[in-house]
Amino acid sequence: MENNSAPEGRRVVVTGLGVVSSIGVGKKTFYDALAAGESGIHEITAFDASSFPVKIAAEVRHFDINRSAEDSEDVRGIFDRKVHFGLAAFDEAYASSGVSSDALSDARTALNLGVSLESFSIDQIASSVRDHRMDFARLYAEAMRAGASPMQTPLDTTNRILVRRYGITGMNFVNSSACAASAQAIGHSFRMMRRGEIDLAFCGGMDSMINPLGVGGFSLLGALSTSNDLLGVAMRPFDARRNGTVLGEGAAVLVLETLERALARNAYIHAEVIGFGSSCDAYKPTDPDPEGLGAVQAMNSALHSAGLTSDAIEYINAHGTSTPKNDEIETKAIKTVFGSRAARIPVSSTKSMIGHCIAASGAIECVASISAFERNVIPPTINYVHKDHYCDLDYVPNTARVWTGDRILTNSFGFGGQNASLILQRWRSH
Amino acid sequence: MKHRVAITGLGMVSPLGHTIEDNYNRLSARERGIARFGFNGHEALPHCTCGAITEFHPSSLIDNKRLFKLMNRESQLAWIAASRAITDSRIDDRYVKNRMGVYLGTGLTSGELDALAPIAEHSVDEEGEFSYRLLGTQALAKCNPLLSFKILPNMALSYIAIEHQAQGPNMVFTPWPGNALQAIVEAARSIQSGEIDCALAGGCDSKTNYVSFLTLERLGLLSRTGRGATPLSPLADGLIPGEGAACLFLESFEHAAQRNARIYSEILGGASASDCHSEKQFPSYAPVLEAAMRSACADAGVECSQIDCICTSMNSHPQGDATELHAIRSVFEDDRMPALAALSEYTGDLMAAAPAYQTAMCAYAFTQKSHFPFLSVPRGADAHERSDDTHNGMRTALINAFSIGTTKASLVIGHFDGE
Repeated sequence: MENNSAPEGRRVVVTGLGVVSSIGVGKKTFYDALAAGESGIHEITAFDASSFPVKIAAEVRHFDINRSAEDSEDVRGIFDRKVHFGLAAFDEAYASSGVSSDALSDARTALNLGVSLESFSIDQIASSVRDHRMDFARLYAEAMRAGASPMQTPLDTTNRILVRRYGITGMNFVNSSACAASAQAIGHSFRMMRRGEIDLAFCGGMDSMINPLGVGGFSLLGALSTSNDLLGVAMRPFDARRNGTVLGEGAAVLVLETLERALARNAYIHAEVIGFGSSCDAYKPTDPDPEGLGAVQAMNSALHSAGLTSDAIEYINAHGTSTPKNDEIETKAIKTVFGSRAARIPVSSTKSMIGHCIAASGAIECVASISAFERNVIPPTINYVHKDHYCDLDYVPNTARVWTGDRILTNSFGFGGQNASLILQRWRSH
Repeated sequence: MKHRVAITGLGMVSPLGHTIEDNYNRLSARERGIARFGFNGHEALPHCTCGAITEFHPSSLIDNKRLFKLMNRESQLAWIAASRAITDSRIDDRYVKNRMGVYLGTGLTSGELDALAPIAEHSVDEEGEFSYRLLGTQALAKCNPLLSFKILPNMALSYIAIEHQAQGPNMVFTPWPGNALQAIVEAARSIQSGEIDCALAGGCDSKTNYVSFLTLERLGLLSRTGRGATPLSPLADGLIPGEGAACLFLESFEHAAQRNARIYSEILGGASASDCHSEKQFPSYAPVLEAAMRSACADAGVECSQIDCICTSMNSHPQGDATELHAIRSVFEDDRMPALAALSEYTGDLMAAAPAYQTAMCAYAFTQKSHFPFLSVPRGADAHERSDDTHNGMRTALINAFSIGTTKASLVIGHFDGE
């Protein structure tokens, strides 16, 4: 199972986790919901979407943004949901890791978070419309008013708050590689650690596109399911009747550190990160490569970096967006990489439960993958009923499956053709 | 084995021109590309002075019309800079596609108010109140269905990768100059480690629009008067926004040698640090800047005393510039003070494009014997000394990206003399 080029560099392990999702805020509730196959998809409540073509999303409901926005001075007035999700996921990861505050401020500790797009406040912009024309002077006066909310929240806002709140002095990165962003942030941190540049990293990502422009914009692209009446069932990756994705939101942060460091402080180890691959389709901005060549390259590159052949992978946490093209092409790519063995590898899409969390997807799905190690069950692909001729793998339909395998590949394929694959390994102390 | 990283191609678009030669010549002549620019809504702002690219006809420069339709201004600029870097490198198609990476720095999404305005305008009812019902039933239909392509920060990278079939590893870092410089460092590290053979690394940004002026003013960074005064001068009162893109073609020395490529410069090292001490968006805590510069020199394996020139991130923000100067003076002893340059004086602050632009200009300067627009550095409280324009055999340059945000990054590049 090992290839000829054994990986060089230090070993990297996961010693802390934090997650915010529509099916659970916090690791335990998230794990429970994954194993139970719960759907987080409901009618949108974040704004009045009743006149929108898409009225459903996987919202984080058990999280009071307003309270969070008032909790401390550094977030007061920030109503961009993803910022609060990112902060909460970080807090849980940090607390669970047992990392000292001194370590956070060490120059060899990195912060590396993925995020997709600033959220514009369209109602704030609209408040400056007079006689159906934009009144720029009014918009300026409103924007400059003391205490006014920013019209846009810069993408580094979560990083900025964390850096100041926790005294982080090392490198901090804001990765904006669309749906691959948080997977890249984890993979990038893994690489830096392996290359010896850092010893500890807080990495992952956060996102929320459940706002008028996010839902509206993705609707216009035809990427979203309009089967509003089906609610959670509308999100059905790999099912023959899938007709688009459903937006989700949330965040996940992982604490990565060198194995040596983790052992020295007797840290609890959730899993080991052993491979990362990144590629670009370089095909079309609107569509994935029809042969899945970019996805194939990301997976092969991850295997190469892990020093493994494809035989070593025992579960694949798929990108699985529930769009007709993506699921078919990901299936094709998996078959290319794994050959005849592909049909025997369990493949599931966590998005069936949590929706497509865009930039946060990769990190949340990384945590979902680690749940398979820690609970010995694979999260299912829920809503899978109708077999698709072109999607003919074992998608772990509807019910979680007992599993004690050792290695997981998790895929994140971004809008625009950026692909990232990570390989995780069960931690065995002996 | 750690591979050495060469810069073998340069491409750029800035208010000073569309070619490296134009930019260098105009910088050498201390020409400015800054002027009043009448963008939509400018009358409502205190001023509209910026470094806009006015003689710019992207439709005639971007031959891929299908992609062109999807591009915003930043993507157009990035696409042109990347194409010019590829052409300049003379690589043609002599690279393994999946061993070529793309690493890009992009800025705040801010130029699309013109695209959002119709949505806002059609979401307001007769009483002037915003209505979700109107947004859903009427305004969305007025929206450009391709809006997502225009506002996602990773799309510039996607277009570049498509055009040059760069199928290897890639990353987009955002939104400020320090983050953008990290893209160049990560590209270099990926080549050093042997993960890839070559990469396009750079940045793009456009802040010559209403939303950017508004955002920069809210952050306390924008010049109040639009004078565009020289950094460190008494009249400096804030930054002048600019726009542009710059790309470097990077490759391992082995890769460059195989094809007998011209080498402008070598990337020697880089580093970044986070400023956890300052509540301000501009630099106000010098020790973090010092740490970034010292770490970059250490990573490059050079003594600070070997640095001949610093391309600073000074942008006429009085406190920010003073902090950077203070940090530089702490790191470099007075008798070995490198020459300082602040290119924002000529182009406006290119933001996420600035680190790649500065790197490209320094790399090009290594191959030239002519002038470089060094800054006059105040030695005392009042005095300004004009510095010597000739670089006199500049061999090692430090590029700083400190001006905005918590990430403070530095890069060291060196002259290549064939050894």
